[in-house]
Amino acid sequence: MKKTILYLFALILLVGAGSCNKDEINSQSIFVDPTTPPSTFDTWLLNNYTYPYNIEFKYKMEDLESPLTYQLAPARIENSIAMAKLLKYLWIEAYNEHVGIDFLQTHVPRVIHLVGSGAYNTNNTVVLGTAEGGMKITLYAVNDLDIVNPSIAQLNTYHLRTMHHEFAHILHQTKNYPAEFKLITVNGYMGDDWDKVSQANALRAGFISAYSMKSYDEDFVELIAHYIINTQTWWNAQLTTAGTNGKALIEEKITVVKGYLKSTWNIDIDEMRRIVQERANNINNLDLQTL
Amino acid sequence: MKNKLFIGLLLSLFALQACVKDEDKVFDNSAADRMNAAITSYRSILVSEANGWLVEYFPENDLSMGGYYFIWKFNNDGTVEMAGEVPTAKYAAGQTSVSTYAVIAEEGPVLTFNTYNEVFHLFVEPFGASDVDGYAGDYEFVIREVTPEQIVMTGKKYGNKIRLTPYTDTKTWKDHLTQFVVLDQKMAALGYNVKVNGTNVRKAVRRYRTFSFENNAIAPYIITTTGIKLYKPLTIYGKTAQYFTFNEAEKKLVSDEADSDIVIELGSPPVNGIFAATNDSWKIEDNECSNSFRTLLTTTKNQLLNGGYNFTYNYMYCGRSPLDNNMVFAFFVFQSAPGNAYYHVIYNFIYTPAPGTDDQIKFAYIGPGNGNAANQPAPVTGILATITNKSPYSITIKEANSPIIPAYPQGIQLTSVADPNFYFVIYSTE
Repeated sequence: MKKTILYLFALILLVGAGSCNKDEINSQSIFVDPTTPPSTFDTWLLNNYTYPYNIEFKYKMEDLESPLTYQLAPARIENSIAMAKLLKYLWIEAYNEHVGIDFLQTHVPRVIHLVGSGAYNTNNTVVLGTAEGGMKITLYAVNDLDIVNPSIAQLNTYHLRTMHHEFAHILHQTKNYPAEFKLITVNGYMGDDWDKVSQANALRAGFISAYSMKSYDEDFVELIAHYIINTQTWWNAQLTTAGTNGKALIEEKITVVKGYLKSTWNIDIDEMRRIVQERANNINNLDLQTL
Repeated sequence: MKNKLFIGLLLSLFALQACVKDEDKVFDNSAADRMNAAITSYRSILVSEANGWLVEYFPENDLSMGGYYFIWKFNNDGTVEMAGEVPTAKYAAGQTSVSTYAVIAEEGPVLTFNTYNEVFHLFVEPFGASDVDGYAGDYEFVIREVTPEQIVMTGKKYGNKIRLTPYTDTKTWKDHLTQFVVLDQKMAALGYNVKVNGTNVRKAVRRYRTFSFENNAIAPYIITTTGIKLYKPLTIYGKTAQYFTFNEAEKKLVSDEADSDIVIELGSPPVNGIFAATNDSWKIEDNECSNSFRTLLTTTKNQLLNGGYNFTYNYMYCGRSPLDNNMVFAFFVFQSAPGNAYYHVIYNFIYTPAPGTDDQIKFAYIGPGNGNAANQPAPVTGILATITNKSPYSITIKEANSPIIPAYPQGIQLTSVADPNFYFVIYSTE
């Protein structure tokens, strides 16, 4: 008896739920952007980011796209233009050169969001970039970019390392790296206390940066980002500082990283590094101010 | 179980009710259509003012900076021209800078300035890890009221009220905006006396465009062509006023409201009493101190740097310690490299007004305070002993060399009465 009543209720509920769906779904957003014509930069972005890679390049800041806890300021248009050209040359085209355009077309984040200021925390740290679920990369401190004489060192520290770092997150979130990586320095991860560790002490403990000590995912992507943007001389200097024990741990990790990138994504990280650095040496020949 | 069945029955009855067709329509269009119509209409009203809009803008969560004017002119191509009272690195007061705006749909129509404009976003950007919200201004505004006569908005993050009125003055933008800066300087004083019906009732000091009273209440205001307008009416001893006219000859602000008699007199309270009770910490500006003071400071810097803590010197400050509310002279330092960690090396002092004077103050060192002071080598205290021995100091206002936002008092020079060649200059860090 009870079962019959329950079925009856379910039926009535279904009838109730189904009875009003006569409207067809409209493919247009219900909100329309009124009559702002696209600027030259907007058209350039369509042709260089949106059509070839399906990337929405958001240089006009939207508060809802960023963490509301931070006080942030938008990016200058001229800095956004320079950043769009630099990312295309140093990041997109570097991957294209190595693994072909299909790779980024498939895996690239769909939104790149620029923020003019850094995102400062009260614990004296600053967030330079974030990635969300493989969909979006946010780059901060875009207004700090010198668009006349860009410094590759600053670009690497502020933005390119972030791009490689966040993109590496997308790669491992798509296909995870071998679990053995997590065991190499399993007791070294310390969460948010990473900012209390100096670079030298991080190296000695077997981490390429203090931020690597936050978690094994961060460790993994920091290795990729630091390896790609730095020279072998820099890398060797880090290993020297790391000492015998630290060096062995870092080398064990980078071997796993190299194997993962090659077998999973057909990326030769040494070749990628050569391409990225060749391009980095050439940025002073780029015109970052005209489209 | 029976109860559950009844609840189920009740719920299914609601489902049967869901399609009743005789609802009265309150609106002719859908919510989305109405939003789109509002956005289009607001945008066209913004663009319609060919001379631009005069904007009363209030940053800071607690309104502690008071209000500043902008003139905004909105163009059809999505650009906006902005000029402001406050000079920036690249733009003088009243000079125009162009960026973009949009009216977008959120919970209501929102006006956003979505690319950087140096004239405007200086109120928005963070200053760094030591001040993560800067002047805490909004750049996105919920539009509340739109008529051809005025637009009222509230900041999305901090909720302060922003008012736009059509710019009708025949003066250039620059002349219009700089008149407020000029009047602001005329109304400057170290302290103020508030009178109701001729009787002194409160003392006040001014920071940016806000009066702070001795009972910790504040009254933010914006300058008008003739005086000031408070953010909201002030009630004091039963009298209420919002608009004040400046009487330059008699150095006072007089309330406009017919039945109120509130007067704010300039410069009345003894300034040494105000400074002895300051709630601010004040940065000592190395480059503007006397040679004798600077020599002492250089020695102290080296002692700090060689004290075994791998410090990088940042600056020396005095006034109220941000750590523990004591009156201090202190050093603000980084460990190893900028951005790594901040430390305060704090020494406690007693601040007392010099008896029988209005503008002289004494400082007396009483010992190491919080922070890293106790661990420092003894010679660091040399500068502290000298500051004590050279007391009392006379207090004079000093104009800032290149104010980004002029705090008031912009700067104070403290000069030893016994040795006029020993002085130092301080700026409020609040």
